[in-house]
Amino acid sequence: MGRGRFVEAATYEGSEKVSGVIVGPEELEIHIVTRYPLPRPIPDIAESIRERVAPEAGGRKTTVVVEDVEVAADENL
Amino acid sequence: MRIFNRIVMILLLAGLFVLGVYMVVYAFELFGYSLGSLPFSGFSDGLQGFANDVEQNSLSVIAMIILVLLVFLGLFLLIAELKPPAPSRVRMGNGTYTTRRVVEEEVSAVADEVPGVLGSSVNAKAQRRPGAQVDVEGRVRRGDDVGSIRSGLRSTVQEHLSSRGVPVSKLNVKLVEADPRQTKTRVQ
Repeated sequence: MGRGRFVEAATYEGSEKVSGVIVGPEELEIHIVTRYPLPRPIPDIAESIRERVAPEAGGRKTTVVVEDVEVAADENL
Repeated sequence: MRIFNRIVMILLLAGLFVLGVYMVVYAFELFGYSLGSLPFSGFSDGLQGFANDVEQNSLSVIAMIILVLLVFLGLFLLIAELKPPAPSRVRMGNGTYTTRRVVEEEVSAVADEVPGVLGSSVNAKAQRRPGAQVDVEGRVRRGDDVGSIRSGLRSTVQEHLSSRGVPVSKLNVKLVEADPRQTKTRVQ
């Protein structure tokens, strides 16, 4: 999960803080970090995430924000 | 405009603070200063003279130029203030966004691999419509075939971003001749 530039991508509920997700009354924002090699184009990955979270989103408009593309560490090195 | 607004507000508030201090000092006649010693008469005379010149249409050329410049400055600031701020994220499609840094890193990674490009600098700007405006500056050796390098760089960047699903609304490619001793790679 991405956390935003200043860790602003978070939701506070009670005493708990969930980073990477901003849950609003009508909107849901999911911040992610993708990793190379990308299995599919970024919009397809975002669509999969949207489909996956749709049952839990409660009808909120879901926005996916790709914050970074990381290079996976090569285990053979 | 946010930085400009901040500077203006800091200067304005600092000026008001200094004026406030002066007002307290003069109003309570502290440190030997009094309101009677202020040169109000000269200021009001100057203001009255200016108003008379405006009424009689006898302003000097310099005064008219300054007034016209002030009008244009005010108009420029008004337009700049009313203009909505540029979006911070690049819109990729329906409900999907990415950061400018991701686009810049993606472009930078492939730009340096193009034959003839010794180094590059990339700047991506988010726009209201889907896609980013990407400005790529490639550094090449003096005497290289600039036309073929430019087209190669352009097509490579477009293909790579397309494979990643990042739309590009505008791609500006600029090539500059550089000393290979000062670039990232000397030979390609």
